[in-house]
Amino acid sequence: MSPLKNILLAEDSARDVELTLGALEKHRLANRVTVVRDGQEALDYLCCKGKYEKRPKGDPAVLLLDLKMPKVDGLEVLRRMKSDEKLKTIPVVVLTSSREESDLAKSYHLGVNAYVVKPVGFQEFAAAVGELGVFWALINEPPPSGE
Amino acid sequence: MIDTTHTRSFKGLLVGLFAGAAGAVVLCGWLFDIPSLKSVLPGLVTMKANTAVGFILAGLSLALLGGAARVAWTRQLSRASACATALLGLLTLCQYLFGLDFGIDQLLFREPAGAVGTVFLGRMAPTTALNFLLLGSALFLAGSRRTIPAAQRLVLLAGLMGLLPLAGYLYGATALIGIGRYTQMAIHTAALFVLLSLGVLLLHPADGLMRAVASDTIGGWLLRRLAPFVIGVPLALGWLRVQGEQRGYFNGPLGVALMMVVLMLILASLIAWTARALNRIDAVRRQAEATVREREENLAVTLRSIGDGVLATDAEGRVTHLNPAAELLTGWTEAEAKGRPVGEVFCIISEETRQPAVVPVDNVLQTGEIYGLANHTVLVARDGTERPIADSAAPIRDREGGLLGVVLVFRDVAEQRRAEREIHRLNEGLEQRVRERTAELRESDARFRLMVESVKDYAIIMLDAGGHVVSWNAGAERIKGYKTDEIVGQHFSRFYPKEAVDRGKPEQELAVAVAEGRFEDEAWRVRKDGSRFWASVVITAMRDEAGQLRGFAKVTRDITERKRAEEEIRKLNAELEQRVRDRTAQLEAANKELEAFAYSVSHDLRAPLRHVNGFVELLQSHAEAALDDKGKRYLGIIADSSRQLGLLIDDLLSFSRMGRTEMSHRPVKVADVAQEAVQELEGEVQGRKVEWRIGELPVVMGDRPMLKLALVNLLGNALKYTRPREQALIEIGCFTKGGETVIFIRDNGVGFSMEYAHKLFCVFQRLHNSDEFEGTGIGLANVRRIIERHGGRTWAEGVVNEGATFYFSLPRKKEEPS
Repeated sequence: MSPLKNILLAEDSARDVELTLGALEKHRLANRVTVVRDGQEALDYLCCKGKYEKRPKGDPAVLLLDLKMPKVDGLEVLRRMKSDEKLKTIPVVVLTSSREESDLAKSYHLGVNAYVVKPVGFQEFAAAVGELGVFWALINEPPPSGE
Repeated sequence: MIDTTHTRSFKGLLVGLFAGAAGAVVLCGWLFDIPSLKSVLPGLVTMKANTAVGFILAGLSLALLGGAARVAWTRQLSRASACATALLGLLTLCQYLFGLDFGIDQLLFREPAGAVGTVFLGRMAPTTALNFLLLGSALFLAGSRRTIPAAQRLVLLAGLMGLLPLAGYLYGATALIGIGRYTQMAIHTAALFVLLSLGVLLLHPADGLMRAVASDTIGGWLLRRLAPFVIGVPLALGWLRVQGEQRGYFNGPLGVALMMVVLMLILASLIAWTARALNRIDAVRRQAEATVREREENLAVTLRSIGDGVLATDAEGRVTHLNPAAELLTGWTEAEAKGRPVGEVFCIISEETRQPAVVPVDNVLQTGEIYGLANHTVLVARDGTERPIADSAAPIRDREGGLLGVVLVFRDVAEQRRAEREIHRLNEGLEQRVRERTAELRESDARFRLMVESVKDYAIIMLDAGGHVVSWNAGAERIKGYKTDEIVGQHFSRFYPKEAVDRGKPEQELAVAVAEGRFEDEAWRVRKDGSRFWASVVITAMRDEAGQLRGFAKVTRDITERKRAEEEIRKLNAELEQRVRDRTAQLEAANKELEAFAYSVSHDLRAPLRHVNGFVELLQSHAEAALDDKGKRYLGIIADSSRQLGLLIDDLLSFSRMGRTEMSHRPVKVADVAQEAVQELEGEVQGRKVEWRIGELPVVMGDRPMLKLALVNLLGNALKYTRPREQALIEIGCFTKGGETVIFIRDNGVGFSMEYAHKLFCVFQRLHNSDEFEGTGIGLANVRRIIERHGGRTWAEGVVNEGATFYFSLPRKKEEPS
């Protein structure tokens, strides 16, 4: 078994980050989470650019992607990833407050792997995020690495 | 009658000249002693010199009568010669009768003694002397018309007396040549006498005895035809018999018998020939008579059949004929009227004066011309009946034009007169009506004219066929500015702007009116002062009853104001449209904004809410020990409220989405959708007794997710408000009404007061407080929005504490809902 891959969380809201990390912590997954605060940062991380130029090699097991973010929004990140040969295989789960059909439709059209609406209740939220983390980081078999 | 006494007779002239010449020749014989001239044949008695002189005298007299009878002196000379001839005969007779000798016998020539058949030398025979007396007298008498018959009788006697010796010479009967022992008549003397007698007779063929011979009657014809035979045949036969007997061919009795037989044969042939000719003539005559009779009968029948009265008179004005119509009209029969003066039978008076009117017969008899009767003449019949008549009278003439009488044709004109009076009366009536109608028309015309003239808003102009103004009303004056006097007679093209005239518009418009009866247009026209106005023009062609173009009626209205108003409206409309476009754009923009807003709401409102929830939970787990019961209750309230806010936000977003999202239009099985909705609500049924009654449900056209949401809302409501019921009953059914499919959801819940029914489907309107029944007040508003987008309606009925029924309808037709 290859070394465990980390989880990339793209989320602009600090409170949401805290709640999400809180939820993942319950499932002892918080230590493997990398947090980026906007779309541009997420892309930099994925492409090892900018401040992530010297990060350790390796793609994240999953990208938990918020849609509404400053600079580059979630849908744009998704579009660029799925149109990039190297990045398109990385699983992306949209984790958002939006229940809008248009967002759902666009996301799936762009090739998202899962779409989760953040439940308002914390119990439900924690449960959902925890399950997500367990599924994608532990259960799901990631694609073979490019090297 | 034409006097034939002094007409020329060429035959008389020739005979006279011949006899005179013969006498002269014999005298020459005496003069030169030529025996053959004196006695023709030797052994015959000579013609005495006096006889020759007598013939010269008689011949001269006859030739003068025949040749130049009109000239007076020749008549005198002829008479003198005739007297001399008679005197010669008379003197010689006297010598015989009284034994005298006047010495005239040997006066010219001396006759030698021993002359054949001569008693006294040189003296003519007594018969010759008598013949000269007769002949001279006859010639004398022939010069006068009255004595012609006497002359002819005398001459006939003289001719007979010449004929006797001729026969004697012919048959050798000397007894006939002379009387007893007296001197005989010479042969050429006898012949000349016969010739002269014929000559005198031929002088006047139409008079006296000769009239019978020359007449064109059958007798005259017979005489002329038979006379030559009657004289010639016996003479010739006798001569043949005498010759035969003398030459010893046959004796006396045989000669007589032969002569008689031949004579009988010849006479019989003659009679047969004549009879045939007579038969032919008779047949022709009968034919002619039959034709004449037929014609007369036809004429008589025609006359009788003529409907008009026909009355004929003779030249004296006496009635000769009356046809039946005339008998009827006059009251006289033809038999009674015949011979009476016409005025007695045909009695007429003037209708007006009652005075006897002139019978046109008299006029005709006087003038010989055709006359018509004066008008209004009345015929008074024999019984006093009066009848108005019309007639005319015409002369009857024979072939030579002689006036034979008058024919009067007349007829009863009572009927005609009555008809005339009737026509007159009808005419009067007709004229009266024409007068009345004319008056009406004139009045109507005047009214119309007044109306047309007083119309101010319309220019009503009459044009002649060429487009010249004939009439002009007040409206025309007001609109166009011309006075009647200055415009009548002008061409109407002056009302058009110059460019229109240049393009030939006026003529084109008249042409259209002629072709289609009417021309309509709106265009610029020019007033007298040159200003323009926008005109509505109607030109109508006017035709008479025969379809002939009489002119045009042109009605023009100044609609400049209207045009201005129309343009104003058009401008306002354009502005309005622009504003609508602008507003639509604004609305579209606002809608976009709204969508963006809704998006933000869905995202941004939920985030803090979630944070509240999240951190409350974290607080509970983190500080459970530190919190007292009160603190724990507060945290519970915060958590509850934020959950409530979350529901509200979700419903609002859903409501907003229902108004915005595109909807599909496909067949939807309502029964399936209802089943799904019931399943979806399964969680809320836990621990309750709920009976679902789902009836027959239709297939409708619509958007499946939307319809499902509506049903979930309605069924959820029913479930919610039956919560107090131990046994909940929820029924879904449908019916059709007025072209709509109506679906209803009925429950036995707490119901509602109809007083508030109108508030049910409005946003945030609730009839129960949230302590009793939770809810956001958006569910039914959402149902209404969905159904309205499908083109249907929503309504509800309820009774407090008994239950409620919610209805929604969907159009049955598969048409596009708005």
